[in-house]
Amino acid sequence: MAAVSSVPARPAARSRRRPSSVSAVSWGLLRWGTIALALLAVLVPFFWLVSTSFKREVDYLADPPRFLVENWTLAGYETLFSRNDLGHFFLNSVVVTLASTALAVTLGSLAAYTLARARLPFKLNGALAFWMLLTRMYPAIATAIPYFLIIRDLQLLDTRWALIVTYTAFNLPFVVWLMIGFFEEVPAELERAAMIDGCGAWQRFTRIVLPISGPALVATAILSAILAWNEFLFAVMLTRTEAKTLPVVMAGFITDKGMLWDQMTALGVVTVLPVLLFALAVQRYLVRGLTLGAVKE
Amino acid sequence: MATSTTTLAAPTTAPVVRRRRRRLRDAPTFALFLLPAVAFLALTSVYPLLYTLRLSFHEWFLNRPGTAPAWVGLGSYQATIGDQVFRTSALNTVVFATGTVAAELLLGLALALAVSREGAGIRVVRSVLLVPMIMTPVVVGVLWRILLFDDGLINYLLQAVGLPRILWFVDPRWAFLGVMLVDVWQWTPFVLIVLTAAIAALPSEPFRAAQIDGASRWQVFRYLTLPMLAPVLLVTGLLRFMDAIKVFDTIYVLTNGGPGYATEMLSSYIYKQGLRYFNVGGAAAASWLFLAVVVALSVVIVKARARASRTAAV
Repeated sequence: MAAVSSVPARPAARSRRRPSSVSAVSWGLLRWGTIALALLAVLVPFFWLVSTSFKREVDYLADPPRFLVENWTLAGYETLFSRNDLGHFFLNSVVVTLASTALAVTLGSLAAYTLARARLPFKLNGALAFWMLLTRMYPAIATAIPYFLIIRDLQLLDTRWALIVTYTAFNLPFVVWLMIGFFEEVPAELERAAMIDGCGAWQRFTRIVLPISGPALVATAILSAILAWNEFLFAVMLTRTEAKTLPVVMAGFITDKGMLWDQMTALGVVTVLPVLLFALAVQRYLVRGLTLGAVKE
Repeated sequence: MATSTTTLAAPTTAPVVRRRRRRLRDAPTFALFLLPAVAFLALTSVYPLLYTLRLSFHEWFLNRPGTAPAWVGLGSYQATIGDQVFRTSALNTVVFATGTVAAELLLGLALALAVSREGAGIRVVRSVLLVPMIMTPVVVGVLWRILLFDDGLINYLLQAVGLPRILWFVDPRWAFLGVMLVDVWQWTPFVLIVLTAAIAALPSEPFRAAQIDGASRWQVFRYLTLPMLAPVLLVTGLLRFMDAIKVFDTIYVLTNGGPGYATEMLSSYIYKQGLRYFNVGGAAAASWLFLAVVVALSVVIVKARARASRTAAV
């Protein structure tokens, strides 16, 4: 698959390089001007997030705003960690993310293998895949109220279990959809040989298909983990104090604490950093993962 | 789609009987593979959806202890459609989604064209431009709350170029534009990466031919690139639209629907009906009205995508 990071030069564009031509120069200016503006639009806000977390109140509330300050401080982080049980909430986010991802990837890849390889009766392959797509697309808010009632009646409100089950449900269709594509790319000949040697579906899956699909599985897992880590609607609805995840804690700052920007941005950095690192690692799978195959690479 | 052409279960050399026997032998395993996922999704998505449907025909206020859901037929639907706030939210949602998606497609296309040529540093540029899309939406909301603050950076920059300051969270129109701005900031990268991949997958021959014929840059774009990208643009736009109408996190953090109901969206309306006013029936009816539109849209998307994969090289 052609990754985002390996776009070949368009021949038309490459051979059009005529340095003397005015239009080529102005085109280059336009192109790099656009790129520069876009970079500024992304980097300045991001820099603001990180730098505010190291500023004192006099600096972050200063008018006009101060871009660089000499007395930067870790006070925002220190207060944030000492006044809140942040380790606990961070752990909530980690546990919920890892558990739901593991569950979704396990159940999802088994189902995806079946949908990719078995010919089910009653045209079930297509129907199930379509169902997965719909499940992925409908607004989660539509199930929010009964979901809340069910979780409440099961006495699971404000527990990690509630979120683990929820995020597994969110990510299952996503994993199935992605992995169908990956499994279909595994050459059928490999399995055919094993089949003639008498390997059953379970052996073919665990000994042939899974080892080959390692990178795809990892990428799918990371993408699911990002979705779980960032989720807010169900987290804010199903938790109160004990099982809060980082986005819920973050939103809590808005309603209660006004202008504690150093702590808010410090929490923002703590929340965003792990995601950014993981996402950059699987960048080339992002298109496929986030479009649910709208574009075949 | 999942209806694969890979027919593993039918090796051409094996006789039909053996083929069938093998398929039957695998059947229990495949059933076991499929069952947990299907059961899980049935319990977590189909059951709650039907539960919502049932609740939507009832009146039930969660904050009145000891009451049970009372059948009201289509009463909740009537009340919801008659609710001015619901109508405002629906209109807001459509305007918000249409406006942001249009802006994202335009900006994303321009950027994709700018970064589609390979060159020094372009890879890094592409990675940096992805950042907003990956950031936790709640954090994005908080960040922009700070940036759009009365004495914040954006107002400072506006003043620096001679424009007046804007009270982003006071003036309803600016508040609406503000939440749109944040969505465009966060999701233009999505359009960008999809289009970058699509441009990379375009066949090179037409471009070579156009160059030999001496076509101008504009002509190449207008008569080659744009028509070839059209199907992808359509699908990307529809996918973005589907996500944009669900917007919740950034609204919750940035404006919470205010000032007044200026930035109330369907998701935040349903959330408030259900979990703040405890009007379960109303929230359920609004959910199903919302859902009907979304399902109709997803059918359009699936069809459009099928067409896109037939006509384009993507």
